[in-house]
Amino acid sequence: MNEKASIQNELKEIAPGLKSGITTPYQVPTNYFENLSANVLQQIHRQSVKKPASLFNLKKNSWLTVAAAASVCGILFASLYFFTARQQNESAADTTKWVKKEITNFSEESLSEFVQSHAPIQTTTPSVAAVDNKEIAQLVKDIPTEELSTFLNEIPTNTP
Amino acid sequence: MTHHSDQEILYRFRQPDTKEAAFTALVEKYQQRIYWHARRMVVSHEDANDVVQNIFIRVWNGLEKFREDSQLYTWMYRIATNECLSFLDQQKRKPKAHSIEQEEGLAERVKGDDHFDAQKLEWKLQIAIQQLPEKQRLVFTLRYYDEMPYEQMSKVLGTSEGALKASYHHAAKKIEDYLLNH
Repeated sequence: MNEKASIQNELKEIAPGLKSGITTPYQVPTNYFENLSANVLQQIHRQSVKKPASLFNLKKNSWLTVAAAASVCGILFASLYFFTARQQNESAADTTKWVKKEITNFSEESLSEFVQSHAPIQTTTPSVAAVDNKEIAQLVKDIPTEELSTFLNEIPTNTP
Repeated sequence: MTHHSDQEILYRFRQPDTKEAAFTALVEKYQQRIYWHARRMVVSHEDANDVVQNIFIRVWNGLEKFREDSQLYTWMYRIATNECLSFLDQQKRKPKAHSIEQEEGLAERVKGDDHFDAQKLEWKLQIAIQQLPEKQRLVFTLRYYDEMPYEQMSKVLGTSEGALKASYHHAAKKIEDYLLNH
C-alpha cells in the first residue's frame, strides 16, 4: 500500500467526516516560482557584500561573546599571575636552601675569617684632625719654600 | 522541467564553478513544497515569501557542510519548520499595538485573504487548521497536504512516531468537529 492510500484509510478511520484531498485555496502571485531562485541568489549576493569578512561577529549574542572572551582573558591572566608568583617563591626558597646546605661545609673559624676580610670598606674621608702633625711636617719637608708660598697664595682666603 | 538527483545537486554545489547552477536546480526542485509548507503555517504570501527566502539562504549557508546521513528533503523540511516556528514566535513577541493581525489570530488572517470564500470547504478547512495548537497544525499539514510518512516526520520534528500519530489523530478529530459544526 502506498503512502497516499495509507493516509486516506487512516483518515477514514479516525475522522470519516473529513474528506481527504482538499486543496489549499491560497493564491500565489504570477511568476512567483519562476523568479524565486534568482531572488534568493540576489539576496545571498547582497548579504555577502553587506557583510565583509570580520574577525568577530558581535551582532549575534554579542553579550554572550564578550562575556565568554572576558572569562577566558580573566582565567589566562589569573593563571599567569599565580604561575609567576609561585615560580618566584620557589626560586627564592631554593637559593636559601642551597646557602644553608653549603654553609655547613665550612668551619666556624674560616667563616669568621671570611667575614673579617670582607668587612664593609669605609668609604668616608678621614678627617683632617685625625692626621698626625708630625706626619704632615714630614710630608712637606722636601717641598721648596717658594712652591709652598705659591700654593698658599692660590688657596682662597675667605674661610672664617 | 527535469529535476536533478539530490546527489548530483550536492556534487555540483561543492564545485565552485557550478555552485550557483546547482543551487538554482535545488530551489526549483523543492520551492513548491517548501513554499506551501511555509504558507500553510504563516498564512499570508508576504510572510511566506520572507520565510522561504530565509529558508533557502540557510540552505545555501549549510549545504556545503550537509552530511548525507539524512535525506536532503528531510533536512530542508527541518530548516523550513524551524524557520516557520521562529517567524511565528517573533510575531507573538511583537508589541500588540504594532501587530493587530497577530492579536486577531491566524484564522482572521485567512478570512482577510482577497480570495476568501466562507462557503467553500477548502477555506473552512484552513480556518479549522489555524485554530489548532502550533505542533498539531504542523503535524496535520505535513501529513494531510505533504503526505509525509510518520517515519520521515519523526526525523523532521524530532518527535516519536507514536506521539506524531496521536497528535495527527487529535488534530483530524478537532477539524472534523469544526467542519461538521460550521
